[in-house]
Amino acid sequence: MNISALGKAVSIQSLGKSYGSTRALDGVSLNIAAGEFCTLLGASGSGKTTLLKTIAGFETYETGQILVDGVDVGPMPVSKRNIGMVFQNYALFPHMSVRRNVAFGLEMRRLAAKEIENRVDEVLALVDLTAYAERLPRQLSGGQQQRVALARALVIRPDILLMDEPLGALDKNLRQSIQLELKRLHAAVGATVVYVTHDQEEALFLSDRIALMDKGRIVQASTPRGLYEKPANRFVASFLGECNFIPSDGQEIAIRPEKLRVGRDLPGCDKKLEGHVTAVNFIGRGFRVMLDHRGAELAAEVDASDEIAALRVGTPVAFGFRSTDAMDIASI
Amino acid sequence: MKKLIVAATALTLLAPGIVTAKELVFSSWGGAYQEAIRKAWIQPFTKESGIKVEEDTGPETAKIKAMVDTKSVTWDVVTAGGGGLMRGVRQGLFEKITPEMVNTDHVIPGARNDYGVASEIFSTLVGFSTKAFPASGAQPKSFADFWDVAKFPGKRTLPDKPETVVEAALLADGVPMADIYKTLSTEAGLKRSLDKIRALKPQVAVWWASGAQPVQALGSGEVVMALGWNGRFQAGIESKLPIAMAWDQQIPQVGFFMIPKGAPNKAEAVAFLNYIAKPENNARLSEYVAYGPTSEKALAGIPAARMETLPSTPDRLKNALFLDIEWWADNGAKVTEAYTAMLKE
Amino acid sequence: MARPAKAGRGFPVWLGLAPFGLVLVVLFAVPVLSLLKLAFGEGGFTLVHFHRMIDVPVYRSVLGTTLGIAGLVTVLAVLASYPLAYVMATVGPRARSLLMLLVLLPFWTSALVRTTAWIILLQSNGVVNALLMGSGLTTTPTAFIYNLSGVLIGMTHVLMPFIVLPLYAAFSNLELSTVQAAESLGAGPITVFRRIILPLTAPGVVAGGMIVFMNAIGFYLTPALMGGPGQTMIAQMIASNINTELNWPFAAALATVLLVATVTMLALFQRFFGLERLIEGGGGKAGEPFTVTSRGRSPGGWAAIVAACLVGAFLIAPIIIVFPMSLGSSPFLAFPPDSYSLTWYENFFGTTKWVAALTRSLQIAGLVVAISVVLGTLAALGVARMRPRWRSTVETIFILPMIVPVIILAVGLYYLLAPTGLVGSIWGVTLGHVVLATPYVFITVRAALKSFDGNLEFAALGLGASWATMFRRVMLPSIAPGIAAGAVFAFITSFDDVIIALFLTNIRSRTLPKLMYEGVAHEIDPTIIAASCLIILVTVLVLGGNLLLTKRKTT
Repeated sequence: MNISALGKAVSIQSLGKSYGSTRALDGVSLNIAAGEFCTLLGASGSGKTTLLKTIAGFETYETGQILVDGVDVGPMPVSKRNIGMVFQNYALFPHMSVRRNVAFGLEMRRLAAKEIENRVDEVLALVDLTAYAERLPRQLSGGQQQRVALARALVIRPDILLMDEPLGALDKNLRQSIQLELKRLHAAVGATVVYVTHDQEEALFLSDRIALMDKGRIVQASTPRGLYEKPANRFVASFLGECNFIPSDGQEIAIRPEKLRVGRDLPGCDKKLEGHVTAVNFIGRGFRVMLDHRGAELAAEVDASDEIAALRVGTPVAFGFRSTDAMDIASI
Repeated sequence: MKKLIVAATALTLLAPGIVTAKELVFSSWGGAYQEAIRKAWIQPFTKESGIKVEEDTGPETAKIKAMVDTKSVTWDVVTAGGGGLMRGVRQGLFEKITPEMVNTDHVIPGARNDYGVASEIFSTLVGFSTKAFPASGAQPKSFADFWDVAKFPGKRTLPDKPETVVEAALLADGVPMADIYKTLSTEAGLKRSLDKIRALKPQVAVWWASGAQPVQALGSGEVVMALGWNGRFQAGIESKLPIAMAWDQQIPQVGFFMIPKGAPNKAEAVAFLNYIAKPENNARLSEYVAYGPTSEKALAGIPAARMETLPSTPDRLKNALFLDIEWWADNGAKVTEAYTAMLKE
Repeated sequence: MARPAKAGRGFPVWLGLAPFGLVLVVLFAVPVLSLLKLAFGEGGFTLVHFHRMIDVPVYRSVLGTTLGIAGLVTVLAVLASYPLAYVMATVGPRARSLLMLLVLLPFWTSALVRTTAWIILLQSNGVVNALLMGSGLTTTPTAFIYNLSGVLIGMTHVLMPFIVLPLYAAFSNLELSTVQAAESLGAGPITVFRRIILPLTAPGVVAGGMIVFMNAIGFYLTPALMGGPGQTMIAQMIASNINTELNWPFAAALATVLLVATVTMLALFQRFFGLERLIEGGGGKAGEPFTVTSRGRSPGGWAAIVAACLVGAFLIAPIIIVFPMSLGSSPFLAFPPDSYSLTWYENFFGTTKWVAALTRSLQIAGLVVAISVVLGTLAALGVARMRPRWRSTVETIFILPMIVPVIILAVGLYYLLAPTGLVGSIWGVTLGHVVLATPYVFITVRAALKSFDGNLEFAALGLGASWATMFRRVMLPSIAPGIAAGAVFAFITSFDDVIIALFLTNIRSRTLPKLMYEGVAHEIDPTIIAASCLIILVTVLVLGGNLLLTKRKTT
């Protein structure tokens, strides 16, 4: 692949922004290395989209700064920032063909016509849309439109690629195949990507780093594994994947469902407890067993076996886990 | 109120144009003119004859033609200038007025016609701003003065239609009154007139389409001289606008009252026409609007001060070139085309 | 969008097209054609009138002038409307309603009063020249009126609203993300406007531009009063040939040529830029509408605001000076007046004829609005369901009343209706107005139906609603703004008409415009200025009241 534009590093320092009386961004700081795929994860209203828009320059901020490759981009107008942006609704120019859409950014940079043509062809091949070059956006499916939006943003070799929940409108299978493509493209192209989503599975799959946001603050930023295995607090633990909180001596033990074992045989588990089955459901890769343990409802994901399959609601059952699998979190 | 409207509508629907006996419908152009007619003629006529007169407005020749063609004439007496009269006559829209119906012996010869009774005389002449040309200095007197931009500098306004203008241009160029229409009938003569007007074009600020315009323009200072109607100028003077008129040369036109063919109340209409033709009645209009009476006999009844404002005193008529409506009926279309083309250049 | 041909959806095409179609045939085609056929000779067939048109150069030049002025006015109206529509789309709802009021006010002022006000403003020692010379910008008075600039000013002033409204609608359909995408790709403000905003708002411009152009062609009061002889427009010639010259065959010839020229242009225009080609959005979830973010306005945005303010001043200037003018005591109009009095207001309320005429005009306008809204909406619904092949032909036919000179319709209608006795009753005028007004409703409702999501209709029908119920509860609320806009245009068309009133009323059924024009050949009665002021006041109160009410509803 020839499109190798190593992205630039982004440093966000104590960013603050208010919307009237609400604090949209409350002292946000984040360092994104060059070429890193960083996801801003959170629920609606968490501030992730606002943060993305301030990096793009579509929103202002009151305090702090944003440095791209060491340069403060605050005073820089949007059109000068060399960012590639993929919008939630793709924002393709409806009156231009795919080719013209993709070529737009290059035309703005006043490249020679031949050069533009070459680069457009190249990126269309990259996203596998060469056959659709002359179509209008309304003649494409949602997935195809999404790829055009991506191609348009990539072809200009942006310092940073910003993506605002780009897969939200697609069905699950399509979403997964495009996620794969995104990962492949990122590996090939090496751009710095800032990706916004509320879907934690997507975040875990795609990212080098995840910044989890809530109420305008970054609650925790780490690698996907770091966030998943070492959540800083209860909020993080519950947001990414599921988490059980087992009451024990006035404290709570946090443990993931897949770390719980159920049944007579509990190999390797140094902690063993008792409970009642409240539900048993087959989920393809195994069984999901809901247990009641002293009033707390716990979920366990276990491999399929006849023993598990035979469990009935109300049956008393033993379960356990490895104490090293328990997560050490500060309870807030 | 609603019931009244429904009833009135029903009545109108059921009985178009039916008017109870001893009534007539009079249609003219509204405004101050119609008000003057109402005060001078209609109200006294009703008092004297007992015939009720209902008033309407908008006697466009086209509407009269439409009424006559569809035999739905609702007007008994209509008014028009000479042009409207002639066009209507050519299309057979008006009843012929015989001497037995109305005696018009005393009417000024230039104002007689077989199909209409002359109601008033109004003149086109030069009106000017007394601010630009005060009495202390030279004031315009003739059409030649109107064309003299050196002696009387400043912007002018003229009608956007050729009637009276082509005559005034030739008069300003020195053609004697008796020869005007003869000259205009020749190609060279018409060209001479149009060339004269064309020469003045750079000094013309506005070509007016409605009678109020030249007076507004004089009053506001947009122009210093205007070729316009004496009645309107007089109204301006009475409203304290700084305007005066030059009576030395004028082109009078005659206003006529006619009876559309098929009018429902012909007898009453004839009675009305007889009324206004009588010199003593005719004179009364001049009290309300500065239009001159149509017969010399009427002059006796008009106070001297008022006479100063009228066009048809014997002295003034000496230098008056009556608009030849027959000539205009024959040549109007052609002359208008040439005039419009010249304006548009 | 492809629709199943006869999916039994409960609204047959003929039901939509027949009512207005019938009205057009009886009350438009018959009267107009009966007059136009005179162009080909009164006795036998002859082309002598057309020859005269071709041989005498002044007629060709007048036709050219007419089309030229109409074109210029359309362009100017578009240029002036852009900043205003942009600002309306990017300010809060209260400011927007205020701007909307500003745009609509000139409508409510009679053409005669508006032109008089402009003349007072622009004459040699009028307000504008006084300002220019007083501030030292010029040394001699500039001739703003009695020439081309006068005509352009007068006509643009009154025709702008026809573009502002659809353009504003186009702006509201623009998505913010589309503009931001262009910016993120490196487009500066000018490029954004030229390559994104302009092409995407073009359909709004096209719809409004058509209305303006066709209206402009038929204007003759404004060119007569505010222009010079070089700006004689063809409607003036047609009217004078009908009214004064009584040369109906020639007038018919002029009108026929005008009609053919306009319809041809219209047909070509429809084919390339027509109402059919509204551009749809680019998929994905619907984005935010075009608005101003916390980033504030770009310099281009501020320039637009300044331009919009100038345009706003242009729109409101004559309306404002009309008020002090109405309080002058002299029958000769001046601004500022030398002395003040309430004479003209007293005159208005004191003489029964004024209030009666106003009442009559309102009655007729009310009837016209009711009828034309029904006819126009039905027609729009019918056309929307037609097969594409005949659609633009039918559309062109339905808007023909807008381009035929009104006087021809008036005379023709007189001949048609005189035997029935409807002339002189309220119904003669009403029917004439309905013919003129319905095309406006048709255009606005048609545009509204375009942006109506067909899926909503299917959803409602699928849930068991009858077509009528679906229409009442789903479609109607959605297209209501389009209907309202059409109703406004219809009302004004009726309220301001002089010519049809002139022919189809008598003294008992006099409308306000007819009263206003009485005596205008000789003088201008300032009572009409007082009347106009009252109408403006009432409009402002009604619309302002509406504004306050809606505000309360949304809080």
